[in-house]
Amino acid sequence: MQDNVGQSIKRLESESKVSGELKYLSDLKLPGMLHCKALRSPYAHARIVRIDSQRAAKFSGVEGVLTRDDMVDNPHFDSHYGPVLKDQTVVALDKVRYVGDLVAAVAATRLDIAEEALDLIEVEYEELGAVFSFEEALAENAPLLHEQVSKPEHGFVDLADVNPVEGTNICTTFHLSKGDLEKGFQNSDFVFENVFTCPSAQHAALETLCAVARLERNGGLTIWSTVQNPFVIRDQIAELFHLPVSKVRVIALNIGGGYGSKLYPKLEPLVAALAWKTRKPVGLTLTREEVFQTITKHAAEIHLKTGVTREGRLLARQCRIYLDTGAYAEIGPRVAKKSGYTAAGPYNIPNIQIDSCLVYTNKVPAGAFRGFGVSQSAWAHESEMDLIARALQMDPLELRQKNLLEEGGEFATGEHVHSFGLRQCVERVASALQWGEKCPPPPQKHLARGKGMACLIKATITPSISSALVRLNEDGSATVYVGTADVGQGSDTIMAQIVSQELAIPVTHVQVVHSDTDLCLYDLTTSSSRSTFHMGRAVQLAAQDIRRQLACLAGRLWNCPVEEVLFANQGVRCVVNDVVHAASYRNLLSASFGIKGANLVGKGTVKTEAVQRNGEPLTSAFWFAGAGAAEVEVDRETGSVRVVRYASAADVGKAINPFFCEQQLKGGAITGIGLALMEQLVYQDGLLINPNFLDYNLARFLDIPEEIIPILVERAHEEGPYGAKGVGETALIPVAPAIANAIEDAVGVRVTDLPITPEKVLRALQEKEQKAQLLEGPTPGRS
Amino acid sequence: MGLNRFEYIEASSIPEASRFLADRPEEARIYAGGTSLLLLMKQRIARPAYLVNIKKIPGLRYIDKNDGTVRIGALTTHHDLEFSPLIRRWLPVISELEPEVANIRVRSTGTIGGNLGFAEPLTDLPPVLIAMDARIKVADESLERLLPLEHLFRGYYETSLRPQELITEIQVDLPAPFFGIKYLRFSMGSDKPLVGCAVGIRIDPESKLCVDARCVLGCVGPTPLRVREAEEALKGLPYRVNSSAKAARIAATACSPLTDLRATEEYKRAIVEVLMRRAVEEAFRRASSKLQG
Ligand SMILES: Cc1cc2nc3c(=O)[nH]c(=O)nc-3n(C[C@H](O)[C@H](O)[C@H](O)COP(=O)(O)OP(=O)(O)OC[C@H]3O[C@@H](n4cnc5c(N)ncnc54)[C@H](O)[C@@H]3O)c2cc1C
Repeated sequence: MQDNVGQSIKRLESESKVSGELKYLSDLKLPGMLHCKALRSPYAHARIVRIDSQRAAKFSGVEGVLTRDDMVDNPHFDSHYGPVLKDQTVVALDKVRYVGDLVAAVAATRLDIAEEALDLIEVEYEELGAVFSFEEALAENAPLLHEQVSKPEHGFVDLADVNPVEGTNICTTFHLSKGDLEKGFQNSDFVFENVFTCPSAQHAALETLCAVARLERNGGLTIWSTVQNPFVIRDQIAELFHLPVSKVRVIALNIGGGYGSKLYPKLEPLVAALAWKTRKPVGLTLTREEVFQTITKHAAEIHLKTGVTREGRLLARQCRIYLDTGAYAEIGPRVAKKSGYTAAGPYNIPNIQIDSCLVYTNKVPAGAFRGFGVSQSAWAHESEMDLIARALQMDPLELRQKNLLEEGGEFATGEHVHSFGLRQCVERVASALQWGEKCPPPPQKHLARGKGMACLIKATITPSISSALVRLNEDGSATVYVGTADVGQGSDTIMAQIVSQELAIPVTHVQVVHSDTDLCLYDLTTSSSRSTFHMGRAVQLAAQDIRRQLACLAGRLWNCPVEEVLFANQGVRCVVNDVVHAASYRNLLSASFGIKGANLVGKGTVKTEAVQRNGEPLTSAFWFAGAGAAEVEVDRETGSVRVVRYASAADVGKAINPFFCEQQLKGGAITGIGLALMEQLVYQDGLLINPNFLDYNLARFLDIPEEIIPILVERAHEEGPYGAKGVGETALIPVAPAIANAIEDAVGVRVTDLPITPEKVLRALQEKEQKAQLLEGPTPGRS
Repeated sequence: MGLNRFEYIEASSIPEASRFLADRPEEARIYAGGTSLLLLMKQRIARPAYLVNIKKIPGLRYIDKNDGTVRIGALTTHHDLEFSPLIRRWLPVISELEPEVANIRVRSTGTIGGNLGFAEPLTDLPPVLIAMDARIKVADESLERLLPLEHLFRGYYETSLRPQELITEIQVDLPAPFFGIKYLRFSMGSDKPLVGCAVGIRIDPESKLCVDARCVLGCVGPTPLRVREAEEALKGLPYRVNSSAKAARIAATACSPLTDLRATEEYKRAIVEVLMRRAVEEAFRRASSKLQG
């Protein structure tokens, strides 16, 4: 069959996307739907002294205004929510904590009316001291963002041990240690200490955030949302509105890109509260500027201290990581924890100490972002690897080869990694760029070329759970029910390919029903690059469940052993005493049940645990390994950097659709180039001053390298479907350090704070020249 | 934020548009491609009560050449300029720069009239056109006048046009023989340029000395800046590294860039210097390459 596992078929929905037929959530128009607009805080930190919405409420066309007055002592819904810590409120209660924080919201018959009515809401603020940097936030007597924070009753298992540090702006901390750090440094010939920073950034998904809520006659709520984890939203809304989860239905249509920005509650509590208040459906679509004010990537400051021997063996590494989570915890605690595990890099280091500190500041909240904190820590450890290599006069590839975590090696967490093709990734990106051969010098003398590489290890969320249903219809076609949201990554197609493979039916006969909490079984989330591994496997198990049922039916019908039943061409076959029996699924079903209309339902569940069978901890159901190598051209006179070639390798376990995997590698490379060279959110006194794509720079088509070389390494994982692991985040992570390393190779300067703007490169070049002149001393003849 | 409420008017002729603008000088704005104006309106920086769409006015979108002059109608889009064979043949410097202007969406709807009439400092066409001594034709209800493009720009987003006037045409005389022009644009991760630098050089075919020069900077001041002192530094001399470096230094001092989100003043001056040096060299090369044929 042409379209099953291992084939690069196109996405099932490609044509409807290209033709514009595919509907996105902002296309949804429910009868009587009201339009919502939010009033946002103009202050970074302020007490709300008074809020009066009466004039707005009376404005013609306005059907409801939501303010804190609706929250106080409301028996129908709570005011506080949050996935890890309950520090968010539907609208502000006593305080606002960043410019853009939700103060109130209006639902009106038309959007422009809602917008105009915002001006009629009177709010009196009393400004409070605000903190914007790590230093300010962590200073003694710093103004506190949250005086007290509670945890949800039924929180995430993997985060049961994280707690806010009361009386400070420390949201949560993470600590990991292995071996004896001090001894490690003592035994080292050299110790390196460096600080690396990266700014906050935007996900820049094409579709902005959008949510629609409808109160149902039975008191339940239906919520459509651009959300990557509908079940988490369902649980949060159920808790907020005191409803059983059966009365909350969350639906995600096809999503126009997520990259982490569409996880966890964003607009849903607000539209649900307004739907409850107005008794009418309420929809809210954010403008781009509002998305900038809703969710960002964690800015980070990372202090690394590394001890090495003269021969280049890493003996000890200490990582101190500060992550800026903005005004609310969101999923920050998991970002701190997950990125903490891998902060020392994919190396075999006997002595490690890692401390992460997640800090509240009066800025836009930061949440999940493709790479989940690992792009920040890899920026640090991969830059440092090259600094070490340079100091030891060793090839950076060789230094990595000497220290790489190998199959079966013991990781920082104490567990042994398996299905870990890191060495292949590193060596294959190196050979793709002819590592070791000098770049030919460009004809113009102001240009210089260089090569650099970086590698990574990343965890996936563990423990977690995904379940799938497959229904074999009466005509032999199949319907698959998965909680996984198709955010453009092609998950629907992957699931269909798996069913096609298992049941021997063409992909076109498989319908995927996705991300609807009423129809699908529980799935934790579409993130952490986990869907193919977890949901893919659940779908495979569900399809195999159907195969078993089919084999039983065939066995009964033909009196043959079930294990001899074969599956091909949408039917079963069996040879009994040299007689060939064959039937299509359709005929088998009607023959077995004596009626047209019988279906089979298969179920599959994948659940991962925090402990392995051998008793070792399991911090990740599988480990991502990947590497990137860049060839750059630097203009010595302007400092501008062009990525000429980029090679990206990822160990995907098994490429179920190689083209999709390659797209992830290429897309990750392009996003990574933007983050490396230009992206950064800029604040002035707490005000985000570049909240749009004119002022916030993204990589454009002209910035894409002439050549991006995707390399798929396939080291099968025994628990993944056909050996598959995840691939979504791997490719982004090594890009920035690979580029920084290539720049140093080209022109001998090092930038440690992202983004690497031309101005920073030029300044570094000028400083280097001044230093060189100083060393040379005064030229003879001049005095 | 959404747009403010406005009334939308479609003008069918220049006099009609002009009359409407004359009657409501503070409240009405010309609406051509809308690429720049709508952004301002979205940010509520501009809140016009009336938008006068001029795109339906016939006969304003053309690229012609006669009597040694290229004439470009005000409604000509960036895309038209990018792909026009006539431009490619006679004003190739424009075909060269257009693919880098903005992005494909802005290029397909944004017009040259809007590009100039908006007087935004971060643009590419004005310095290049000024380096070619372009003129614009400006019309109101009854009159037409011609003025050097250089005289259009007054300040940030400010032109010398009267409220009732429209730009209808851009005129560029065919370059003299032995004239070479180079435009260099520096940008980083943004659709808009950070610094633009246009240099035109005319040489004497016998002596190969520069007989006339234009050095025009974009993005580093309220208006495009013609650096006459830099031009003087090049005149009467053949191409020399020293003289181009001198002109570049003059330009870097003469301009008045501001530190903003994208770069510091200091850096922008450094870029001006580099671009000017490189543009002078290439303009000389182009001027002399015409010597061979
Ligand atoms: C994202 C972005 C990136 C850009 N990047 C670049 C770039 O790299 N280089 C560059 O050169 N430009 C750039 N621009 C500017 C672009 O060239 C202009 O937006 C475009 O040409 C304006 O044309 P328009 O027809 O859309 O003008 P509109 O938006 O319709 O009008 C703009 C202004 O000009 C006035 N106007 C319009 N037509 C006339 C006329 N005939 N006479 C008098 N006044 C008139 C209007 O009243 C209005 O004030 C960029 C713009 C955007 C939005």
